Amino acid sequence: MRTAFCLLLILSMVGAASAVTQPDISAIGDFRAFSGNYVDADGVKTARNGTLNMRFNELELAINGNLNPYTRADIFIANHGDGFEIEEAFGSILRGLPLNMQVKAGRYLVDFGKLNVSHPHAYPFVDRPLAHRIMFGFDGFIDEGVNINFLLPTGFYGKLSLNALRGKIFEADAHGHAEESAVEEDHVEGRNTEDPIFSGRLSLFVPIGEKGNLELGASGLYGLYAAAGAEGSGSDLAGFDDMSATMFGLDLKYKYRWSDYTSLTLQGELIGSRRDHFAEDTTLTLGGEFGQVNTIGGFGFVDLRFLKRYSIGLMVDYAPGIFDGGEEDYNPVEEPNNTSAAIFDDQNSSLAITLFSGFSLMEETTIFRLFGRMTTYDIKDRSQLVNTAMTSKDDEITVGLQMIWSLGPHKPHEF
Amino acid sequence: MKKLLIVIGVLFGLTGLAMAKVAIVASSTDLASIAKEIGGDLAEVNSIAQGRSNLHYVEVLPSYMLKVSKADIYLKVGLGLDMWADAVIDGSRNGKLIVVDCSTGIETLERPSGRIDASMGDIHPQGNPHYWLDPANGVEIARNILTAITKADPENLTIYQVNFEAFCLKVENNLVKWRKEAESLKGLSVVSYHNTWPYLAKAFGFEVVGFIEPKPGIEPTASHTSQLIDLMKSKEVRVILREPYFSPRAPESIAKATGATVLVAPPSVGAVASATDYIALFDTLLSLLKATR
Repeated sequence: MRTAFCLLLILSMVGAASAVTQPDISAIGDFRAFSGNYVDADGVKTARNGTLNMRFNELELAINGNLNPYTRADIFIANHGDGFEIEEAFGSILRGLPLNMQVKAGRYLVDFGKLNVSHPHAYPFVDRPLAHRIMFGFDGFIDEGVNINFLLPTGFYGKLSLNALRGKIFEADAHGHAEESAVEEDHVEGRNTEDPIFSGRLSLFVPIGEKGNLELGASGLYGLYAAAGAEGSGSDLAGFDDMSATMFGLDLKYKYRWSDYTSLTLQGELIGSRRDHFAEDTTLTLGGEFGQVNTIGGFGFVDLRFLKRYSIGLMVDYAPGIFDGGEEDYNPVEEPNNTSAAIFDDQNSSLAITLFSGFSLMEETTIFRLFGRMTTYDIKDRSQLVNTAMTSKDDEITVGLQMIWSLGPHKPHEF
Repeated sequence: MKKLLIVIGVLFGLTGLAMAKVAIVASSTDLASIAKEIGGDLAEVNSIAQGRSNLHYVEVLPSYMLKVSKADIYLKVGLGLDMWADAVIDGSRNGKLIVVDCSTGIETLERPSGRIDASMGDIHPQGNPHYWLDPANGVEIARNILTAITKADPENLTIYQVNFEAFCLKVENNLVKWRKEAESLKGLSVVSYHNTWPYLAKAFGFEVVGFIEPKPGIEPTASHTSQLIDLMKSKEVRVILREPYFSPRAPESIAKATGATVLVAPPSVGAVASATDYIALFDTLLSLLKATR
């Protein structure tokens, strides 16, 4: 994405030329060294198996700044090893609107749940949770659209956030290697509608005692992922109407702070999905069967921060589908090849347990994180997989070291 | 009956108007304390950071945004110390908020020259941001607050001006007393954890000869600690100042090696029980330092 890189250069030159309009520019790198037992979808050991693998996982360039006292712009450009892409680019009106309202428009991480709006380098653990990658897309729920959000007129902090979105979450490439999946092709290849989708989140924040804070959230989404007329979805095949998706989410974050530098965080999310579904492999004379598929995923973690620079934690992560690394994967857990249609896989599942321990040299400027992850797979129905010959899959164990560095101005520590 | 209800309604309305206070939120307890002096009974003042908080490191909570959403004035420390305040202000959505950078008009110390980068630690390009620790700067802070509060509530301008004059006089009178008390501090050399005290040292004539942090914001290292112990021994430094939010481990081990005394010195109002307001903060600091002589 040469354009994105040029944009960054131009903006940084503009910034340097004018002290008044100079935005904050920062760069964040994420390097990993890891090892583990890795097999491909056919059960064959991959080149990464049992050796020390090294990957520069991500370079993120961020440009942020106020446009005037009321409005700001945020641009995040990322390279995951395959060229630069615009991760987020949005303008926000933050102050001065009636009804305690804020408006955001552009391409952005949607506030479905608490964690999705954070970039992975800001997580206390290593990778985006499996449930996010399966149910939202490998880079999370990123979409283009408009967000309005309001502070509720309550005695405590309550926020209602509403989005009208283009629906990229339902496009095939949002879930990675769609072309590898026969099942995927049946359902979402080339979303055939431009109808917007809608999502929202209600969140409440309450202090608990002098040192504890709790945030609770509930999210929802509704939209068409295939309109009538699409292959497998419309009346031309079976007389069915538009195929829609409904998602819900519940999230919780509790943080107890003993001091500025010592805290315990408990955080988790539950995500549910209900999608209209068309299966060709039936005996119906019309050529298929129409129904609905319900899937559920989620994660929870505990993170203890102590002595200003140290952290240790544990994460449990559950997702529908079989999360299976491939031979050419850039990252062992970023690009599975058996999960493209996992959102429709209500039979099989993946469960990961991750231990992580971090050390930061000085706040977020340099962070080292040791991690160990065991992923187990539960295959109940191999007809749902890309490789339908697979009947079982061994546990996958990864151990590694992550280094994150951050160049640029300090960012505020947000709850 | 109807007329009576109208009269009662009008009276209640007027009472409500008369009781409406100027809502001020400050980043620090020090700015809040000065704002209370200027606003008096006409202002309701809150602070985001608590006295024991490290102002460099405050987590932005949604409850802070809610507080600021109802405020008329926000008081920032500025000079890059409370950069988190912008996230609180933006999150408040308050378009009518008067944002005051209280460092305006302050003659800052230790403004770095030449090329500045992060290899120098958590350095502040506009100068050391702990400027409220010189009582004379308290008057400048009060002047900034006076300008904002008279803009928010011009009807009570006279009352705020009287409060401002009274605060200036209070500082002036105490300054005479404090300077007299601080005569015994002449020639005192101290080591501090962080570079928090240049304004206090300049105001009261003692010297900070070294820091436990090798560079601002950088945790102590063995080699730097060893050099610092040698320096303290050669200069016969007997006092270590530790801010309450820093770990006592390094200061105590250095004190053990040098025979120095560790003082838990409050850099802000409310950091220790006796520092109840801006004036009491200096009373506390000076009595702590005097006790070492």
